[in-house]
Amino acid sequence: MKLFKPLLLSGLLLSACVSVPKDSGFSELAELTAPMLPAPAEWVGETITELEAGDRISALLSSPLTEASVAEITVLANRDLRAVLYGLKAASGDFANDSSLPNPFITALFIDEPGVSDEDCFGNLTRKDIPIGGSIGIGYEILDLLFFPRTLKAAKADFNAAKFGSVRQFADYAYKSRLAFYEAMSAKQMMGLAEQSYKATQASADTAQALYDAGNIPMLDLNREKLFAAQMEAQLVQAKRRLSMSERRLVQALGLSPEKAGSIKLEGRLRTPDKSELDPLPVQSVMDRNLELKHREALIKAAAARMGLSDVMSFVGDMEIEAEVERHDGEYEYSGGVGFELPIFNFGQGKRRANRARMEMMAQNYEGSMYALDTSAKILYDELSGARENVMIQRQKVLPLSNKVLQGMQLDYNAMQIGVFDLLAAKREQLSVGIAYIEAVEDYWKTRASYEYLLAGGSPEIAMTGQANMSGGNSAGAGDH
Amino acid sequence: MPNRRDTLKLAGLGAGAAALGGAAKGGHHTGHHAHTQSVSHNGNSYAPGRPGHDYTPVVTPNGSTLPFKVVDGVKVFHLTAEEVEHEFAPGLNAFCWGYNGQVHGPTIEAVEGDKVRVYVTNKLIAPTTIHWHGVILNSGMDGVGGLNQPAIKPGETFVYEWTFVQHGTFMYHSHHDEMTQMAMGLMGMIVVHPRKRTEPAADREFAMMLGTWAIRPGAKRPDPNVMSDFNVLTINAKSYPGTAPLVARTGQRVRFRIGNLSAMDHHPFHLHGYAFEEIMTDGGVIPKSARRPETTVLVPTGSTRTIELVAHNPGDWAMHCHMTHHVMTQMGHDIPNMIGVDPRKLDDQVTSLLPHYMTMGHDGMGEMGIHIESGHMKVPENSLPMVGAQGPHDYITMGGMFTIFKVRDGITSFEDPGWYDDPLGMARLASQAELARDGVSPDTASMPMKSYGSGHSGGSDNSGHSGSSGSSGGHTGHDGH
Ligand SMILES: [Cu+2]
Repeated sequence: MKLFKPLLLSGLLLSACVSVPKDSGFSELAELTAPMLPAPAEWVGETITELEAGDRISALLSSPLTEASVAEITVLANRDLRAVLYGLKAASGDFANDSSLPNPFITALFIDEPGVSDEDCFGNLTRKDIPIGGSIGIGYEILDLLFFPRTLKAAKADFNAAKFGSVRQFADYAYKSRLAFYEAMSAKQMMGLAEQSYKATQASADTAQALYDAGNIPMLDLNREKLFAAQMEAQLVQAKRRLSMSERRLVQALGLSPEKAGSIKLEGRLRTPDKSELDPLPVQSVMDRNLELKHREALIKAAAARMGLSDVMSFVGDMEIEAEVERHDGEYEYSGGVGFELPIFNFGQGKRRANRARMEMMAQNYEGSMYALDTSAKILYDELSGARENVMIQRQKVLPLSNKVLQGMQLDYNAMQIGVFDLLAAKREQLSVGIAYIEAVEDYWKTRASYEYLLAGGSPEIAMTGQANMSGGNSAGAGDH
Repeated sequence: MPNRRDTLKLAGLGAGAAALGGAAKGGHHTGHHAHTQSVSHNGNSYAPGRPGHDYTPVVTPNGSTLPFKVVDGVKVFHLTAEEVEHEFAPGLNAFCWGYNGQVHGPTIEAVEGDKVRVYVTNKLIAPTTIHWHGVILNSGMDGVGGLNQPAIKPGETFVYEWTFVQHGTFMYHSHHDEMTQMAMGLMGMIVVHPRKRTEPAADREFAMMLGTWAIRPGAKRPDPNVMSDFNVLTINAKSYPGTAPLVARTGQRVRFRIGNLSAMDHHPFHLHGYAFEEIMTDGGVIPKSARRPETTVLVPTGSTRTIELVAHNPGDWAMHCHMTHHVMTQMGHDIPNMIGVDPRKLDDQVTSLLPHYMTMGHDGMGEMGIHIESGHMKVPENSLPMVGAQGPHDYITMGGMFTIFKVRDGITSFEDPGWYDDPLGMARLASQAELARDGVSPDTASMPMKSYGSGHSGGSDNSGHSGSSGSSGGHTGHDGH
């Protein structure tokens, strides 16, 4: 009993020190997501009503989509993202649960003493007198109490892990929407060029028809032009297909309801990248901010705290403190006792070794993640500066030269050096240069999104997957774990 | 016409082939000495022919005559082969190779029996030689690189020396890397007047070199590698409207000395308004009995033809190669045939992609030059439109190897007299009265033929058939005789 009192007190004190956030950690999440979102994070149903959210989504959808509005809509509309917040709430509930002192164990015992009770005429027991025998015991797992600070630590680490995980998922969803937005914009622009290309081949085919009708070319030449036009028509269909798919993927990434899916507006062009050079890669800040590392760190802390417990448990096994009040023959008897497991067969070395190895495993994985993050950041940095350089060359050299070539071809046409078919072919070539430019700009923005996602704390794996999927035009929705 | 023996006597080379062979042999080793001796020692030698006295100087339209000085009875000329920026016509310049700052080189003019010494300085980047085409001289002076002499290296000056033993129209041109150097312009005319006149003296003589070039519109250098697609066709290295008119006074005896050093083409050279006689080739004078009236003279490449006429028919007379592609300029030949194609639909369709597009060639090429000169259709910098220039009455739809023979009454200056205003009237729009008078209906495609009988007896009651009946009548009349 002397031991029990102070333990209980310190436990209560500790429990009071660790305050479980009232808002389930949302304000902390909002703070952590602020650098990666253009608008403050909202929790529909908590910080904002469903109605308000709906109005804001409608307002945002009434204008052509931008990178900012895409992120905002995602935060407001995406159900999976909302689910993440409920996950956080659940984690905070778990935290609250884990940070309470363990309840003592109460046992009550009743003793039916002979001659005290009787049966009635129906065979039921009848009480002739109040029960005179029995005991009430209170038991406490002493180790629970002894190691309560550690339990508390583990719970806090668990909650932190959940929090960082949620923040990272915010980053993930915003990132995926951003990629989907770039893809859809690019598909839209390419569709425009594909339409022009098709028009150019159609004009060629119609010219060939006119020439054929005038008796100037044989059927063979006409069919060649028609064949080409038909091939371009097929390409146009592919472009349409890509556009419709990328639009639907954007809707999916935004998390729009089917009623709102049709109202997205894609207009204008992908922005021209800044002329300014890329800032050097902030390696330290990438490491410091990475949510995955933070998440892992929290998990390691929780594991370490638990391991401390487990180590002791492995040796001590079970330890119990008991107090009992017993009434016997109208007399109250008090008794107390300690029970513990006797480690004579299992000294717990195996358990401890396993614990050590698991910790070591986590530590190695953590370090491995750091290296992987470092490499991914450097890859994305190089990719981004390469993509930027590519856009600059395309924009400053390739596009103007291609325009000059087309102008020259027009002059050559005027000077009767080439015919209308060659001129239209030159136009198509210029359009394909335009398509290559759009691809380069799309590449740049998606790489930049991946890079910025990583800088804001995103998962290197997801960033690299988004990057890798880029050329396949299949990044939206990819990288889910 | 002097025979071979006479010409050799004239030159003071002694009689007979043996003597010629000896002189030639001597020339090989000490050519300069041997020839000086032959002039000064021989009683048959002549004083150098004086322009105006011994001959009427030839006019080289757009060109000049090479000046000379007389040193010890020898006419001394100096040709410098060099790169020259040459204008083919306003709007088209190119870096060619020429002599003494001109393309082609100046005309060398001499009199039969003249002893000449020609210094040739090479300021080109390549070795060169000069061959005196058609000139009878000793083998060592013939100028074929490698065969008759070493090539003249850049920076070197060679000396050639011979006595003209014949009169006539000849040429000079590079005979080293001929394909390149002639395509670049290294050529010129040689006119040798007779010492003893066997033909009536001409009042006006024109030296004309026909040539072909390949210059891509927008380029500034002839392409010697081209074998068949020559697109700049020239008279004295000028393409119409760059060619200067040939001016004569009515009644003058006019001689055209036409040479052809085109890479791959012969030119049927045609003069309007006249029948002329071909009086000489570069092989010599054609016997009078062998001459026949012509309106077109075929000038094969590597030869000269001298034609003569008395300018009795005043007016502006087209003079041109009759190959229709030789009176075009830089048009391409691999273009679709647009004749008869309705351009309206195509114009709409293509201008939506290419705003400067205009369907061309659907009614021929005649309008090309007008479109380009008016400035609403731009062609590459430094290029000539497909055809022609503005004439006094309409657009002249010929370019290239085209010039105008201008014959005027009583002129004393041979500067361009301007356009001819024909006092006898010109073709014009038929009046309604005329159409009615002659029973010509524009709606009737062709006039119905009448039988012989009605042609004879028809008279004026059915004047619609007077044309055909007239010719029928004539024919019948001829038959009757
Ligand atoms: Cu010709």
